[in-house]
Amino acid sequence: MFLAYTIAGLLTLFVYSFLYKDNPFYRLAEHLVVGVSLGFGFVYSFQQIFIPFCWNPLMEGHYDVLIPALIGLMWWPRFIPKWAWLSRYPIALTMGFFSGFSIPNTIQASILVQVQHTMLNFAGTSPYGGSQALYIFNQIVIFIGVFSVLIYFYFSKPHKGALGHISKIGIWYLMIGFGATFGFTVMGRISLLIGRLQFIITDWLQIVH
Amino acid sequence: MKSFYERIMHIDRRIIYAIIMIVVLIPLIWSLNLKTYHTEPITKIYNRLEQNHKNAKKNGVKPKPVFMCVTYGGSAKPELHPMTRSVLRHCYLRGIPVISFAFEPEAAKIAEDIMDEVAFEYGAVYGKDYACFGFKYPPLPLILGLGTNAKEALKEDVRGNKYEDIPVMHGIRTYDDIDLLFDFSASASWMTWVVYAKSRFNQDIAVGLTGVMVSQAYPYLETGQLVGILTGLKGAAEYEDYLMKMEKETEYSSMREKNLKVYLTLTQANITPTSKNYVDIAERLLRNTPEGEFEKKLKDYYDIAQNLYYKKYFAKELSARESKAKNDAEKKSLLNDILSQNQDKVKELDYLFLKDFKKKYNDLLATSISENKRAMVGMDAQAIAHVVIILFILIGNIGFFLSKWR
Amino acid sequence: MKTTIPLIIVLVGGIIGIIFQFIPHEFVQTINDEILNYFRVLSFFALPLGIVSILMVHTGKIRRKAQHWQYSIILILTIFFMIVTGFVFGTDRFDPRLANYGWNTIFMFMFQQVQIPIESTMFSLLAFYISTAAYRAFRARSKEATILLVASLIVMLGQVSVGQMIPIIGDYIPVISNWIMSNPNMAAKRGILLGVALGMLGTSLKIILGIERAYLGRA
Repeated sequence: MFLAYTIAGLLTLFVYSFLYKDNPFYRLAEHLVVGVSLGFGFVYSFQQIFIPFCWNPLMEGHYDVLIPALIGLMWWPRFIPKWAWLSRYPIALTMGFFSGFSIPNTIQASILVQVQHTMLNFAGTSPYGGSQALYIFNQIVIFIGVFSVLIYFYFSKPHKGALGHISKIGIWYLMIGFGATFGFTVMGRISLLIGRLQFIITDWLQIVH
Repeated sequence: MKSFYERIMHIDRRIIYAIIMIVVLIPLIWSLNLKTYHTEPITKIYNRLEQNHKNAKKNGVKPKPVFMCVTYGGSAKPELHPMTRSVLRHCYLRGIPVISFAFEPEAAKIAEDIMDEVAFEYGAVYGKDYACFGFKYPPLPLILGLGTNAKEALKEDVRGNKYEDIPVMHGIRTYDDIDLLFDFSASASWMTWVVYAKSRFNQDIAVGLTGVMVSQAYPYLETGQLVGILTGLKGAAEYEDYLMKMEKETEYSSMREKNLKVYLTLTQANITPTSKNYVDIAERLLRNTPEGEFEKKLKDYYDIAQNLYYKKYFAKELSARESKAKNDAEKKSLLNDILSQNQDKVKELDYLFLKDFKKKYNDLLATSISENKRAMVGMDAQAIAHVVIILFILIGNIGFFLSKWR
Repeated sequence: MKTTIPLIIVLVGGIIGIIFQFIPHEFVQTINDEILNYFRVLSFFALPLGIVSILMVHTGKIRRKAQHWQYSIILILTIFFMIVTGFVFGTDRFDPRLANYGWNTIFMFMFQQVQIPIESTMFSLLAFYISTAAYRAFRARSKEATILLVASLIVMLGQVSVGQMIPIIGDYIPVISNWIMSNPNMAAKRGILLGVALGMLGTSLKIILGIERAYLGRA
C-alpha cells in the first residue's frame, strides 16, 4: 500500500515543483494525466454507455438502436474535410432537441420563479427565520438590488441622470456579490490545498493518523 | 536602499507560497480543535433527511430513497468528497436507501468507491441499501427520463445487474417515489437539475458545491428551488459535526466495530465485496444473526481466513504432496495432515495471523475515524490560512497607501 | 443537403422538444423516453472524437519535432496503455485500504494513484496563485474596490471560526457574513442570472429558427 501511495505522493510533488519553475517532472505529470483520463473515460463510456444502451438492446433484438448508432457514426467524418458536413446531422439533432427542451424549463426555473420571489411581499415569512421587520427590510434590499443590477446591464440607453444613479447602485451590489464570491473562492482554493496536504501527511507519510 | 513600502509591496511570490504552505500544514499536524458554527443552508438538508427518517419510523415503513448525482473528478475531490461521505453516512445510519449515478466517468468511479467504503463501516449492503448506476451521459436524457421512467433511464448498475433485479430499486418508478435528490457538483450540472427536475417534475434538490460556485446558488435557495446547499469545505465540516453528535447519541461506535469486523473477516476469507456471495453473507451476519450467536457465526469465516493463511504458508509442501495424492478425498485431508504434523509452527502462525488481523482492524478503524472528521480538521487549517491571506491583503494595501502618500 | 436539411432538423427537433414538455400523455412520453435513450447512443459516438483530436495534435507535434515532443509520445502511449489494460484486465476495483486485497487491476491503479492525485494537485496550485493575487491586486483604489474588499474580508472571516474570536465584533461576523450572502449577494447574482437566462432563451430561439448557425461550422 505504501508503495502505491508513494507513486501518488511523488506525482504530487512533481506537480508542486511547478511552483518553483516549469520543469520536466511537471510536464511528465501533465501529459500523464491527460493520457490516463482520456483512456479511462473511453473504457468507462464503452462499458457503461455503449454496452447497456446500444449493444445489449441490439443483442436482445431491438434493432431500432441502429438508427441513433448510424447517425452517431456521422460524427466521425468530421476530420475529413470533404465529408465533414455529415457531422452536421447529429449536431443539428442534438442542438434542436436540447434547445427545445431548455426553453420552457429555463423560463420557469430561472425567470418566472426568480422574478416572482423578487416581488415585494411584506406579508410573507422569511425562509431564514428572524423578525418580520428584518424580513421586510431584506425584501426591500433584494428588490432594489435586482432592479438596479438589471438596470446596470441595460445598455440600450446611456447611463445618465436617474438611470446613471440606479446603475451606480447596481455596481455596488455587484461589487458586494463579487466580494462574496471571492471570499468563497479563497475558501475553495485553500480547501484543495488542504486536501492534498492531508493526503501527504495522513495517508502517505502517516505523520498524523 | 529600498524604502519600507517598496519592500512590503514587493515580497517575492515564492516566499508567499512557502508561507501559505506552512500555515496550512501546521494546523493539520497539530490540530487546533476550532469549533464550526452551523448555518441555515446545511441545517435544512440535515433536517430534511432526519424528517424522512422520523416519518418512516412513525408510519412503520422504510424511509424514502434518495438519489445522489456525483459530478466531480480529482480536481474538486478534496472539497466535495467529505460532504459526499457525510451525506452517505447519514443515509446509511438512518437506513435511507441511496442510489447514485454520475455524469463523468471518473466521478462514477469515485461515487462507487465512496459508497462501498462507507457501506462497510455502516453495515449497509449493496442492492438492499444502496445501488450504484455509474456513468450516465449525456445528463439530459437521465434527468428527464427519471421523471417518466426510471427503469429505462438507468437500465443497469455498475455490477451489471438489471434494474428490476436490484431489490432497492423495487417501487421506484419516477421522482415521485424518492425523497430528495443530491447533486455534488463541480460543474454546472446542479443548475441542470434545478432547471429540469425541479421545474418540470417538482423534485426537491439539495446540492453540494465547491466554494467557487456557492454564491451563485443563493438565488435558488431563496426561492426554495434548492432545499439547501452544502457550502464547500465549511458545509462539509458542519455536516460532520452534526453526524458526530448523532453518532454519540445513538452510541454508534460499537456498531461500527461490528461492521468493520465483518468486512475485514470476509475479505480475509477471500469473500471480497464484489464477489457474488458477499452481499448475502454480510446481510445474514449483520442483520439476521441474534446478538449472542454473532461471534460464533463470524468465527466460521475467521477460520476460513485462517485456513487460507496456512495454505499460503505451506503452499510448497501442499503442492508437492498434492501431485502424489491419488484421489480428491486424499487431497482434501492433506492440509489437515500437514497442520497436525507441524503443531508448533501452527501455533506460531495463529499468533501471527491474529496479530496481522488486529493490526489491519485497527488501521481500518483509525482510517474510518480520521476520515469522518477530515473536513473539520481541514477547517482548522482553513481558518489560519484565511487570516494569513487577510494579512497579505492588508500588507499590500498598507504598502499601496504609503506609496500614494509619499 | 449540406445546410438546409440540418436547419430543418433543428427546427422540427426544437418544436418537438418544446411540445413534449407540455403533453403528459403516456404515448407522447413513451416516444419521449425512446428519443432520450437514442441520444445516449448518439452521444457515445461523439466521445472518440476527443481522443482522435488529441492524437492528431500530438502526432503532429511528434512529426514536426516541436518543443517537448517527447512528452507527446508518453501521452499517446498512456492513452493506449489505459485502453488496452482496461479491456484486457478489466476495470475491477482497487481498495487502497487493505493490503492483501491489493491492486486488482492496473487500470484502477492508474486511475487512483496517477490521475486523481495529479488532477487534484494541479488544481490545488490555485491556492498559491489566489494568495499572491490577493496580495498584489486586491487594493482599495476606489469606492467600488473598497466595497468589494470589505465584503470579501467579511465573508472570508465569516466562514471560519477565527472570525468569532475577534473581541466585541466577533459574534456579529457570521451573522453579517450570512446576511451578505443571502441578501445583497443574492440580489446581485439574481440580476446576473436573469440576464443570463434571457440570453440563453434568445440563443435557443435563434438556434431553432435558424438565425444562429455558428454551431454548424463552415461549409
